[in-house]
Amino acid sequence: MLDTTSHVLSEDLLVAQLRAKDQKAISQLYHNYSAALYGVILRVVKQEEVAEDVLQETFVKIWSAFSSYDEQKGRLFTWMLNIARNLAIDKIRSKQYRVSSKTQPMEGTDTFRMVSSDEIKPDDIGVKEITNQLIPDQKIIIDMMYFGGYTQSEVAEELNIPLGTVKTRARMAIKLLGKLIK
Amino acid sequence: MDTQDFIDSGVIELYAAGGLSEPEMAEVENQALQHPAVKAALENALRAIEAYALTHAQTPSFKLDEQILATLSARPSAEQYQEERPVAQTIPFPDTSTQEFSFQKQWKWAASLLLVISAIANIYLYRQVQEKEQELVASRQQTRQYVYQTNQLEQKSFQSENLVQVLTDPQTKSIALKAVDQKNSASGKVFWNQETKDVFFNPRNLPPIPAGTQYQLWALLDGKPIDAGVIALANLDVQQMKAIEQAQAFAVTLEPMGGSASPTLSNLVVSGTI
Repeated sequence: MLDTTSHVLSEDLLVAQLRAKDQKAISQLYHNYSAALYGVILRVVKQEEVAEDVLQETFVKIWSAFSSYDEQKGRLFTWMLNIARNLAIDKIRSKQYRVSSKTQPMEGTDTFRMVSSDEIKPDDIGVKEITNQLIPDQKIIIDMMYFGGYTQSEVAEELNIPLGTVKTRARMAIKLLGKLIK
Repeated sequence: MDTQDFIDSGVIELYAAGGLSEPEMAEVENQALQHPAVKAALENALRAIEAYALTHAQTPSFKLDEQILATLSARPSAEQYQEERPVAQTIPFPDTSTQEFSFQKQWKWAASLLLVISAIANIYLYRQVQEKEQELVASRQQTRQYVYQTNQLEQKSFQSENLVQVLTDPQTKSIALKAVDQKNSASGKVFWNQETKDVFFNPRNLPPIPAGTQYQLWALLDGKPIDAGVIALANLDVQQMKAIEQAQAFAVTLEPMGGSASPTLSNLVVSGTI
């Protein structure tokens, strides 16, 4: 599950088929990546109905904007994750999700603490390993940025820690994750 | 900023985690395009965060699968969609039940016949192969023979050319050897190159000799004979003898096969002074 190479292996072929607007390829693409994308979207928007809408928007965008995908700039999975994440984050930044301004205290952080402790029920040893390995202070920063759409300065502000600390913790978390997947 | 400093700053990890503003992201992308080390670090960071993202994977409902795939299928032109649909065709299948028996019999005959033809063909082909192998062996021997002959000819041709050069060299002296016995018509010719000291002898006009004997050439210096080598009998062409440093005369004697250490003067055949 932690191995991303299975996605990578079929990527070249998939990309070629998608470029040719091969109808079968989109089905293949959906089956390969829907769970990964849906999982991220759900972590961002936290509501199933909304996540379902965003997943559909995501695939429509992938399919219609495929000509703008450039292999030279990155892998297909990276590109698709970006689309999914951006659409999901746009959603939570829209009116329904952030009705009030930043003055509403600790909304983000509370949510993340709640999510990271209660909502995730790892059923996979790999998931457990990773989440257990991450120090909570590091994990919350990654989660806020990746699933909450917070920038580094927003994280620093929300958690009331120096920007340098945000950088260091984020870096250590990514390094650790990198070691775990090798 | 130095490339390594840039990598160590943590900005790449922040990019992967999604914590950068758009201008900051653009800067990382720009650096990655320029420096392979940055690109590699970025790739590693992205793989790490993607692995983390995958730990949250959750399969959407089956209903959603169908809905999304239907939405996507509806998007390209209907034309393209139709083209890919295979068209079913009915192909009539012939009734073979009545023909079955004769069919089987025919097959058996055909198979037997093929076996006989095959056996005959095998014998014929085996013989052909054997013949060809023998031909090949003979052909190889012949080729070897040709190669040998060609080498011989080449060697001869080289010797002739060499000889012509020596004989026509201004430094080469030609010494006529005449029969000691007036009644004898025997004669010989020595070619002696003053510079190289090479000696050649033309034995063409020497009379035939009994078996077990051989002509031998001598150089004479101050009355003393110097061995210049025996003359090959099989070869009546001009032949090279032993090199002679100094000489006043040349003489040929008949000697036992293989030559002698000193000339048998009673058997002196031809001689000539320089």
